[in-house]
Amino acid sequence: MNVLLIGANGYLGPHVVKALAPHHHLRITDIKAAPPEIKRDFAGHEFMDVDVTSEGQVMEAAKGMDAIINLSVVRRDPVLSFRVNTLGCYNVMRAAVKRRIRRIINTGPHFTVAGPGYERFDHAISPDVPPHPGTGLYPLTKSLGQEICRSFTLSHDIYVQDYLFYSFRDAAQLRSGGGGVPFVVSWTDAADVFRLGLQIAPARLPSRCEVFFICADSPQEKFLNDKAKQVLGFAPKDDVSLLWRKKR
Amino acid sequence: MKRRDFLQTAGLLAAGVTDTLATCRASEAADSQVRGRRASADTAIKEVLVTSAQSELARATAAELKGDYQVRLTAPVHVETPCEFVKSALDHGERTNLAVRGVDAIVHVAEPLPDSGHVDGIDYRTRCTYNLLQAAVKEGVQSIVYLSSLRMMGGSDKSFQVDEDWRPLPTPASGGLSDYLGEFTCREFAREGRLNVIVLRLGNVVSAGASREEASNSAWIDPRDVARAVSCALTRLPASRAAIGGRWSIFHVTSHSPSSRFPIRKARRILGYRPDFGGKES
Repeated sequence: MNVLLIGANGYLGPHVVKALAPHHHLRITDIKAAPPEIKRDFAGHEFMDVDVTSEGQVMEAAKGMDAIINLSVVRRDPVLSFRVNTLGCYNVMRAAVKRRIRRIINTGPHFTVAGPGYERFDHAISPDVPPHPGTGLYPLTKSLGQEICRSFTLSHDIYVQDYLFYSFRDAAQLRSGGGGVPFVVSWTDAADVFRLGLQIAPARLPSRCEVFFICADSPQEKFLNDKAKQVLGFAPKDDVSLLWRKKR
Repeated sequence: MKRRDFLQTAGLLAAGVTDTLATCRASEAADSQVRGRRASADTAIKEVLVTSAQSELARATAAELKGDYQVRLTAPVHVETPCEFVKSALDHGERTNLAVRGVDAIVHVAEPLPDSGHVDGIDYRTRCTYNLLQAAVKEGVQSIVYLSSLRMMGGSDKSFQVDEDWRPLPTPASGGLSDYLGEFTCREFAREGRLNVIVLRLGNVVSAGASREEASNSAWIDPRDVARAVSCALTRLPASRAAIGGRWSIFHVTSHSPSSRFPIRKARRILGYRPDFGGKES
């Protein structure tokens, strides 16, 4: 499969490149250059400068692709957060329509749907709750982007999977007593879910727009990852529950 | 039998309970005072900011409101108006704070400039709305009337009557997507208790001089009726928490037509909205 990666040179992107490169031909894009080791190790793939806020650049980058993975994000800038997180999704979906690309994987933080209104009060929070991102710039702009994706699936034969993350760890950081927010996944497990998302037949998705919490099992059961396991076959290998075990 | 007598008869009025009752009464009295203060503060809507001053809707709204309120207008471009005017692109910055400073309520017409494309429209309805609402919170404004549209509701089966309880189904082609995203932005401010928001989902706005064919569309509305609905909403905003059902309320607003898919019963019942221009029942 030809896969366009947008915003691929951030924190998560290089892990996704490593997970997908053996299985797919990748067009690796971002507004900043890829790390030298990625360029060296994956020289057989394409590299492009693409600004997700430019509809023309996204449209051009989507030529000949079978899937788009949107990893782009801006968290704090009051203008760029909207341009990248919200309008970026619009550009991606417009390109998908024009280039007849049916498979989109969008990404964001867990509070794209489960903002403080859920997180402070509830447990067993599912990714299928109505989105309550709150008024924080980052969650709200990502949630608006997700709503744009959903709106395109109402009228186009396009399948969007939205993967939501919170805290990433190196497997080596998973030590007893480390603690942290109860929504954690290792970089490698996080990256592997994209491989699964490209494998799944669209017809096996419950609808044309599905949200998944991508986290490993945590003992607090605050956020549920059952859907990612059942639908995508997500099986995190790194045990994050260690973080909340007593130090020996 | 009085409550106290009943409790004594039932053997429930021990000393501690008396204390509890006294505490409850004191608490109720305090609540009542707070409610009184709120009502007093709530009824104090005197100055209103109207956005998108360049638009016909904003002009009609300002004309309707200026008899009852001090009206301030804002737009990203200069607009000639007898009302107070503050030029603001509703950016993230002091200029937006200046535009809202001192008003009691905002009517966010949220109409982008005439030559704006889809992307500009979304940007205006999301980013600029967000900036406006953040400024409102910062400046102590409590209430917003957001002008949205019924276009986001058109995706459902045409045989149904669609009221405010239906899930919006905005599609990029319908033109309702940006309106919906603006609602989404407002809703989170209401949900967090930062603002009272009334959303008026308007039918297709058709000018007074429009052809009979245009006006025969069952979901149309004259700009002067929009202004009337805004005025009704502002009048009810002071009691919004109690009478309208919390900080977030949506109303469908069109001319009245027996064939309309979008009934305006809720706006009639709660806002007291009565369309005056065209489209009346025959």
